[in-house]
Amino acid sequence: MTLRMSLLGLSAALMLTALAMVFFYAPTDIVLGVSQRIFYVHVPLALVGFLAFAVVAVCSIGYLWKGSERMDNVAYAAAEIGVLFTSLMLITGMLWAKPAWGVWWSWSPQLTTSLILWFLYAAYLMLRAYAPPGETAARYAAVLGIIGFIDVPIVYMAARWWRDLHPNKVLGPLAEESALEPPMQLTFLVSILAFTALFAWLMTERTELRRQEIQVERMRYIYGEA
Amino acid sequence: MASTHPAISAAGLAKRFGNRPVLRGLDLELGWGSVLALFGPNGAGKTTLLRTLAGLTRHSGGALRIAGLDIAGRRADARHLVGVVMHQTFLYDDLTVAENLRFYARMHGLGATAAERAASAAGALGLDAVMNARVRTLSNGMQKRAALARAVLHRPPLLLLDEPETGLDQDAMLALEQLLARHREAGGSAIVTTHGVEQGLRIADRAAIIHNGRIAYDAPADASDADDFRRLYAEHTGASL
Amino acid sequence: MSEQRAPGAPTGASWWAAILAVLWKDLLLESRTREIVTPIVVFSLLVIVIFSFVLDPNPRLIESVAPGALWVAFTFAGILGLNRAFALEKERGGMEGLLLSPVGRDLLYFGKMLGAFLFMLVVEIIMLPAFSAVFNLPLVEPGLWLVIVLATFGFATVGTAFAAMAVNTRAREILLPVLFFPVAAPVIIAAAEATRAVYAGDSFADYSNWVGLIAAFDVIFAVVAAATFEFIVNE
Repeated sequence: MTLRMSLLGLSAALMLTALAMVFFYAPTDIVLGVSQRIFYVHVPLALVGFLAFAVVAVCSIGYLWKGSERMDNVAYAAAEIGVLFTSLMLITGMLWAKPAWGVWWSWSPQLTTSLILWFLYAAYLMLRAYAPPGETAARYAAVLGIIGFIDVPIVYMAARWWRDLHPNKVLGPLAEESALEPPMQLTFLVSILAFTALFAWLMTERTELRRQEIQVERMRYIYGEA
Repeated sequence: MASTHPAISAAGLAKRFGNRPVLRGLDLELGWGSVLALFGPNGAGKTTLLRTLAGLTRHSGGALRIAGLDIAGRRADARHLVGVVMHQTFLYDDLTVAENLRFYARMHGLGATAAERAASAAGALGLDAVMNARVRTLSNGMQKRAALARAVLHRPPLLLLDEPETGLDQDAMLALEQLLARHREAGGSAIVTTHGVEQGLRIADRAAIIHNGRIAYDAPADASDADDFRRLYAEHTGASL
Repeated sequence: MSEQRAPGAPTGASWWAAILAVLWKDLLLESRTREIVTPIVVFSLLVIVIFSFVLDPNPRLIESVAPGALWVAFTFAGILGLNRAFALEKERGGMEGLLLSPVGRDLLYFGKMLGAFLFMLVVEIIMLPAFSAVFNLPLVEPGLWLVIVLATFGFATVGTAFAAMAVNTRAREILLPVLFFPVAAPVIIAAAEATRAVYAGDSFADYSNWVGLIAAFDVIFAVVAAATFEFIVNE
């Protein structure tokens, strides 16, 4: 309980600090203008989303190895939050791309990989919903969690070579990133920390909720309601 | 084949499907040369118990040994020791009886003698005439015989038969009873789940009742006491046979 | 949790005998029923016909879209084949019959996977001449055949694992492609790009990176899927 409350407090404080820094501290990008400020949300969402999928993979291996239900709960929660963050990342990316590039979407390696990732883990959630409940769903999902994560670098390679053959007419945002000014770097750092704390808080809440859901259902059988 | 270990030794066996408990700490020990008739209402855990013994389902708690082999770590070895008949035949409809039996014989590593083993198992169950017919074209009774032949193909010392009487005609039932008697004489064991009291008590030397995922009653079987057994069954399960 | 064996214990079929037994059984069944190859060939020919209806017949345009059309047809055909491969096990509890056999689950995987691979390949071998005729493209291109064999194998590696899951789920016909396409995306991209290079007359060196990517996918996922198959099929 105290861990959850302190994580909530930490992520709220960091999030407010990050917001203030995004709007009042970080300078406006010379090339990209005001719209560049959405990167302070977009990039942390991408990084933490990816972190979430790494957690899914690690806990999937742990679940198949040890059969611990807790591992499975963590994997499930991480997948849900990862899909949420990746969705927000794609939306913020498109919001930025329209004014900056004049198009909502471009098949840059990052975007292509992110989109396939989104589909992969949306499929993970569907698999959990449609598989026989309990252990079977957990085992299937764990196998997909491992296969999916191993697939990510292969997808990225394919997307990169593919893009080389179809040169983008628009400029990628990452070209400028190496030239970030120190205030921008600091803002990024705080923002990344804020989203990581938010992820940690959501994870503890979701894992605990899932544990309780399972307990309630078990009790229902014990007391013969179902 | 019979070893010094009992055929089956289960202690505190538990199995959940999803969050629904089916086996709740079941204890059972079966020696060699013994046939156990297992009775119980639908949903009591009969089929789940057999599936767990067969290695088709992983138990979620307790300990289970087949001929001394801990089934959690040695499922592949334990699979050699059991022959299983369930409601489904596990046969491919569009293959002939001979092809089905040869396929399963090869899976059991009986490559060189597969055809011979298939023929002898089929012969014992009166399947000679239909060996080259596709399973799809056979009557239910014949399909069930073929499923029995598939189960005994690799001469397993432990047979697990889930309501084998369903779909079996009189002749086939007689063939099954003879098969079980020979199996027992040779030192093999079997668990047979059934709804037929007289029949179950006749083929078995032990009778047990499973209720709510536990063994509620377990005693030597006596075919002359069918009515007594019905009364006991009602007492333990609140249902009638 | 892996399945150990005791020394001196009775053994099941040797690894190659078990794989061959499963494969032989699937081929024999298919030769009897023709439930996989025949309907899927007809379906795939229809896909090609529909592509020629909706695509601009300008020869230069055809050259740029034909590789994509070919791989769309192949992946759809593959999905249908994979769905069937496990549906037929499900019908009479055949999968459980397989699971009762005292052989490693990885061997069951390789048996089913090689069967799925061969069925897809047969469909593609029948389709390619029709495709080449309709779009007026060269047929005898060793490079193209290499790409087709490797990519189809890649489809079979992950496809077999996902089909074994999907067959036990609700909405299984739709779930299989939803699981399969994102994971197989790199193979689809690579195969289409390599095919484009072949049709453009490029040398093998120009598309060897794509071939390498598909080959790497094949090896990685054949191993991963075989190692995790017991968690899919064992209850």
